[in-house]
Amino acid sequence: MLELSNFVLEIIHIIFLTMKKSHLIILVSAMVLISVIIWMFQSGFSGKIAEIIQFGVVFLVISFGFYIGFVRVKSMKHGEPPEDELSKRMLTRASSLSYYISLYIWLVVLYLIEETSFAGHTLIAGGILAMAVTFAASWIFLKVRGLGDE
Amino acid sequence: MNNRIRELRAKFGLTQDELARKAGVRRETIVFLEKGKYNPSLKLAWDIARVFGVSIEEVFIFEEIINPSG
Repeated sequence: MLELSNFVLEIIHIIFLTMKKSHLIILVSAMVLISVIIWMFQSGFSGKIAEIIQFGVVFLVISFGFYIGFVRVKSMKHGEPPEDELSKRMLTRASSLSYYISLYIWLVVLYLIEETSFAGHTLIAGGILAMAVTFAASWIFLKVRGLGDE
Repeated sequence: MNNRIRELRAKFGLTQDELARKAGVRRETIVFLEKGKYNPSLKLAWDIARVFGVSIEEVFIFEEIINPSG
């Protein structure tokens, strides 16, 4: 079993070393998508509104990953660099903005853990998902507004 | 900061794609610059000016914000 896991890790290591970052983003997004689809069917998806929202948000985050990957591949096909100073700065700004917002998200999560009957692991999973959504939202916000104030 | 990228691009008959490739950035960056939604680094400003064969000051116009309180 240990040999098998070492072999799998070695294969993954080689893939990560040889693949371009853009293709890697698409590969990771595809792997997450497959995992979520398996999770969805194994958890007995019943189509309740709460479940639809939960998986909808997850699929939204995965779509964001695919979008980033495809934009980079498109740039490469046009003979442009997959990332430049604007895209790097935008990701950095989106990261810092979402980090500040996430602090408040975790305060709310802590409050909900203490004051409500929701299961702790559900709230933590929600917090992590909210962080991912916040990052995507921050990135879209900066994309629309621009970085002219720097 | 304002710039004359669109004007110079038209003068030299360059598309946004061509300018992006020559300056080593993505087309989106040129779009952002032309719309005034991004202030470039000194290196990118220099690269763009070099594509047009002019000085940085001829492409980018820095407007100083005067603080009324001094």
